[in-house]
Amino acid sequence: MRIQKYIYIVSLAALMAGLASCGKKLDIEPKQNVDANTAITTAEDVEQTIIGAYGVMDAGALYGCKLVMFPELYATDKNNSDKYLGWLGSFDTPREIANKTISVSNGDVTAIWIQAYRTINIANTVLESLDVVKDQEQQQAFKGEALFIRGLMHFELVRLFAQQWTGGPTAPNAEAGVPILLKASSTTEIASEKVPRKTIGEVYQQVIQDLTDASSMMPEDNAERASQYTALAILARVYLQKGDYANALAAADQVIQSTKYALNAKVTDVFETRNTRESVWEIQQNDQNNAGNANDGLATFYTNQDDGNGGVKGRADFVVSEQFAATFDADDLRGTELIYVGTGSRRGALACGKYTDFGQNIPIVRISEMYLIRAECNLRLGSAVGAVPAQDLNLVRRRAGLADIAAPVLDDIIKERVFEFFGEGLAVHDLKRLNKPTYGGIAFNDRKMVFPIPERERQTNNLLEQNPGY
Amino acid sequence: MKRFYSLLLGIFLLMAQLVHAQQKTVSGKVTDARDGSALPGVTVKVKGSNVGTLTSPEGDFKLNLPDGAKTLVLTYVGYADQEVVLTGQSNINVSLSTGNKELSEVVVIGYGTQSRKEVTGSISKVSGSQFETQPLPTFETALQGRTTGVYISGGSGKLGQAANIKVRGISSVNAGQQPLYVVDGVPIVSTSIGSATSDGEPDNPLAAIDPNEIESIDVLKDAASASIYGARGANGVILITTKRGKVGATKINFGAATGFSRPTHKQKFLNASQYRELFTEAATNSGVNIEEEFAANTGTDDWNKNFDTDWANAGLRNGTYNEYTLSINGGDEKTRFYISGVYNNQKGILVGNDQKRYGGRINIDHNISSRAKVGANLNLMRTSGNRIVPDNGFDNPIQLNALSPLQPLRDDQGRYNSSTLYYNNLINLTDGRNLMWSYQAISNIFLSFDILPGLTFKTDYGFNYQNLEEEEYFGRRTQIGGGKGGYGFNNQAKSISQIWSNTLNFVKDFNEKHNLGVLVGIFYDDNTQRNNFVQAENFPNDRFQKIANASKITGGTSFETGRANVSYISRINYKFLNRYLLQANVNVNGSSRFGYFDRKYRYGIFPGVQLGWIVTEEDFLKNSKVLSFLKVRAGYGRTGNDNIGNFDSRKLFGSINYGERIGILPVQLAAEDLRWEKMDEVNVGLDFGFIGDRINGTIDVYNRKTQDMLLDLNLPATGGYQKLRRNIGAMRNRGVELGINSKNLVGEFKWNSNFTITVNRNKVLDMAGTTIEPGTRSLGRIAEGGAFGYFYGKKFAGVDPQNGDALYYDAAGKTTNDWAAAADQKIGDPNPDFYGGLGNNFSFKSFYLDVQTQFVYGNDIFNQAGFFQSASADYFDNQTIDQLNRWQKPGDVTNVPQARLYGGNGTKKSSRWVQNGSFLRVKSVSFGYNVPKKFLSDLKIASARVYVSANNLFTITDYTGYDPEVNTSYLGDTQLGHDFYTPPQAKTVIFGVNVGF
Repeated sequence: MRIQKYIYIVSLAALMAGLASCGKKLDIEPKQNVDANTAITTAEDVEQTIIGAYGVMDAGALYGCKLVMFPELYATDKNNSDKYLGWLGSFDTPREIANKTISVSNGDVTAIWIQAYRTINIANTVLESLDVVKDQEQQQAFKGEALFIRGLMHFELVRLFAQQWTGGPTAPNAEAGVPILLKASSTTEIASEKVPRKTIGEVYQQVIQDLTDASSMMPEDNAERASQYTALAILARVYLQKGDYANALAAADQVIQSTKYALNAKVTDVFETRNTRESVWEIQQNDQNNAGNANDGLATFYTNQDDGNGGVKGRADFVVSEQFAATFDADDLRGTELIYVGTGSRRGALACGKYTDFGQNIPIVRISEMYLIRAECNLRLGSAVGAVPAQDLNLVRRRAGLADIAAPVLDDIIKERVFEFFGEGLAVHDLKRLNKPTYGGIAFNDRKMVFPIPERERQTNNLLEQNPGY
Repeated sequence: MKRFYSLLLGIFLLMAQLVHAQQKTVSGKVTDARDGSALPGVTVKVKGSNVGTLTSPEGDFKLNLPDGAKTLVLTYVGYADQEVVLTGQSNINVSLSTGNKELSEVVVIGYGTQSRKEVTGSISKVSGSQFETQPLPTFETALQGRTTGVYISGGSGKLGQAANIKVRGISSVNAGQQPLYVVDGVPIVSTSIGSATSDGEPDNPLAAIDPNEIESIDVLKDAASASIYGARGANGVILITTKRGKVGATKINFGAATGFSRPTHKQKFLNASQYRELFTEAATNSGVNIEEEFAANTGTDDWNKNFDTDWANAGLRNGTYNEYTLSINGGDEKTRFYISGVYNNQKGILVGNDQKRYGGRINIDHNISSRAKVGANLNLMRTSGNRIVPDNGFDNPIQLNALSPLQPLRDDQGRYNSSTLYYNNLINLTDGRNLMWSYQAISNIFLSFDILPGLTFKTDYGFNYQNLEEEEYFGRRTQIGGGKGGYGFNNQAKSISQIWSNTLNFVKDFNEKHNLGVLVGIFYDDNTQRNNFVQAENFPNDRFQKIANASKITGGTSFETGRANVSYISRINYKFLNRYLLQANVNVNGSSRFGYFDRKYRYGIFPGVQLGWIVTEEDFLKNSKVLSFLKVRAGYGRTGNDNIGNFDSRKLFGSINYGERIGILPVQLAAEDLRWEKMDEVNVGLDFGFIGDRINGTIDVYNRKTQDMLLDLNLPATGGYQKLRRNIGAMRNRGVELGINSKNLVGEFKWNSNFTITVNRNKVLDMAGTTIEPGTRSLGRIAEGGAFGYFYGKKFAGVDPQNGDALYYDAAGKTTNDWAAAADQKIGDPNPDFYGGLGNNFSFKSFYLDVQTQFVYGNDIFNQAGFFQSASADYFDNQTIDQLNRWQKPGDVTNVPQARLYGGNGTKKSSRWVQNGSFLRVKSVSFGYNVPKKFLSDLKIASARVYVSANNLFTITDYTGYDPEVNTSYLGDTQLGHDFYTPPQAKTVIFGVNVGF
């Protein structure tokens, strides 16, 4: 009996002691994620973080859809457009854009803000991790690419959430722009900082700085990612937006002179084939990785097709008005090839044929834009850098099956931009820089023509002043 | 910690040593006081110890008495406890009578049981017998109206959907509101493990628990009681005990039930002529051509045809209910078993929704020797069915009510029409499938050993395994599969939990005056979840539906996550003179979710103290004729909550796809000092019985305060992150609960009543300056000073009689037609003022009738679908019938603004669609007949019962939507009382028979 008792005691004590070591089992590591402090230790890690930023830029909130579709809807007259492109879908966030009744809690507007700054933070994280890249050339290239991404996102933000640049290239533009973020959120404290809006002038200055630096550091070829010419092409856009035609001309000319890019034979090629010569930069997608095929993504909203199997493809929420379609010259291949009568969700409605495949790439800058920028700037400045305006303009027109214009005037070039880029996200920015009203007659500097600072941002950062009118 | 327990162990052994001495034997027979028949399976125990046995099939028992044993306690379910004083006799015959049942009821308290009489906490109990003839959607429904302090909203009429359960209000904002479910000591994973990318309503693991095998459900409501589960007790603990074998002849019970179901209520929408009238007027008012607009938006010329389709009811149907159960139980003093099986097949009230559940359970208890016991509970349940999408999906059959009555149900080929305003999801019935299969096992094995008289060691290992398979195929004509040559999806999710507890339990009486019970133990549990899915497109045709048949894989993943908890448990129960009660417990709990940066945040200490005084045991009340029982009790306890993401405190990088490449990116910030959310509660209660307990009841008053809430703090997105998990803020719930049972008539005609009512007030005390805002289409807001999820937005002020504009109130209380200029304010509260139920139970000879009602009062419901369906013909969605009361000409006084197509007249978020959601519902009715034994004995049948019973038989409410018992699940935990095309509950009537052999 005695011995038996000791056996109990010993075995029980052993059991209790064994159980007490359960505490060690509480150390569990995540499986799909890695600790941030050790995530970037090699050059490859830095490069993958850059790719991460591209991944975010493919989000539906950015180039995956909204940065392309919203500038079109913002330019139109009303959602069921009579004059341009319109929105017939049930989602009310795009409808608010088309009707200029944007609420401060518009989910898509909020998402653009959030995802753009998320991308900027990734770029800043890259910039602060460069010391692990030992190869100097590679380090420069990565630095340039991160600066390009940071500059690009600040540019998209400032032209949507702040008033149009006015008063010529040297005007101060001291109205509120957007917050400028140049520091990675490496700690919780930095991430929680309340950052005020900088002036429009300051934001443009930073954007130009970043893109200029980027263009001097990035490689000439960078596979399917942005190259130094992408930075120059965006820089041309930035200068054009602020009316700095001389600099826009120089940047556009540099891109063209590189001879890396050329117009495709057909107007549809750039949307049907990945990474053609016409593209200065495309967002890469495939069937598996894309911005969406049900509730987001360009093809989802633009496509209005019978899938040939008794079903339909696309929601066909984004439509082309009859009146706008009628403004195309009858021979214009962009009207005949890139506008079609829907056979899908909205049978009979006209649709824009640029995005019809959920997994297709999204061209962000095409060389035709550079030709038209060079043409416009040469015409405005009375110069002939690279080519005379007529030559650049007619290059684009001929490809579209149109006759030459021997002596173009400014309006010819502006119109050409409308026909060439409809649906691609340039519309409202062009109207604003040209100080033209929307298709519905709203002045370019109307308070409604600036997105509101998202409500959630103002609730978390009391330093952010709201735009007038909201 | 280790040292502390070694010390405790030492003390135990010492105490055990003191009581270890000589033994002698006593034997006897236990009979039923009614007819003198032998009672098998009666527990005979030495008072104040765990020395005990069960009576044999002949009612006999034999027991070795430890030295100092003075009293035997005999307990038997359904009979009053009886004590026998030992005066040296070796043979004792006892007869037990049914009597004071309520107070002899055994209550499960976590790692043990307690007599109802001695309970010092606030615990609600529902026995299986109370719902055995009721068709339950899921077992939680059994608690509705029958328990105080437990608010249960069925959510919707989808089969197997999780009910929304709140114990004593909402105690947490972001760290889960669900109580902890424990089945026979095994905590189970009760939240969905399904894939977020699936097109199905989140799965509900609780649907795998078969109500038929439940012996009792005990709800630990107050923190002092729940703190024994410290870690995860903050939202209350629901303890489910399954049936066990009883000593005696083997009993076989067979049940069959069949019935039908219908929606509780249908909403009324415009018919074709009303639709034409309203929309023609709306188009005229907006200066557009109705024919053109209708054609542009639908792509059809249906405006000019003569269809009149009842889309609103096209997604609803009559359902069916079929269930067969079989249970076998029996055993002897050495081995007892309970075996059960169930087959349950339901066709839902929504088209395309059905569910099957089948499986079984084996519970075994075996006495190895007089000191060692072993047992096992083994269970496997399969649930499968055709699922419905979440409420916000176009595939939700209720969303069919948005389609225009002018459009036909079928096209000219007889197929479901695909040229409709929105997707006609009836096409899914013929061209799609959305299936799930779930396998769930909740099992454990345990061994207990009496080391010394009064000292028992128990080890219990359990596991909870879930395997969920989700499979979808949507063909070419469907919305999901259209344009891609069909769409297939397959997801496999597993959740594996293991639980190991080791406890030492010591029970001892000292001098008959002091009763002491001490429990110490260690409890470890972990959980691993894994899932992998693949999705694909482009199938040869719609007859090929497996991923193997697809050419394009468009998505896939494998995923794994895990957590572990360990708790060190200790509890002391002390009773003095049978009337002064004390219970104290401490639970030290560690969670893998905390303490990565600093170990001190890993553990939390969760104490609980309860005191009770059975006043009626005092001499001055002992002989009171009126007051038969009175106990006052008070308790304080602290519980914790770690119900957040497994790695919320960590600073992490994740990956993201980009075309053919893969990138990495920062995804989460560090929360270095993340720690337990704590909830402190003070509970004061009173248990009473009058006139021989013919009226008895319970009153509880509580005040609970949650601190260090695990809140998602919103960050400025400019830093690249939207939120950070922090311990901030505080919330309070205060309430009163009253439950009364009465035996109104006790003769041949029996009439019992029970009444429960609960009042709970929630207030968010502190949010550290942050708020959780409603978002674009919701109203629920969480902000300092308000109740959780109160409705916040613009207040609708009706219609301007001059021009038909929708009006809102501005800050000064004046009306304006400018929505943006109106003031945001409180416009409702989804939390009820009070809720409860009244049950009546009648029996006469062999007939019985049970009627259980449920009421909820003072809550508001926001019909979110109002944006589309009650929006003054703003878009082509069919409108609710009340929209016909629109303003038409100056002078009209109405609440429905002028109809304006695309006009946005009163279509912005406002109180226009907030309604009172109070209701009174006859939750269940059961009428049955127990066939008298004399008719059965010749048939070798022991018992037989036939019954008819019904759920949700009728409802009184002012709510004009489908059903006031509503809570759409797609908006998550923070939006209460929102209705968004949410299917109504089912009204179910079943006929059943139970036969025992």
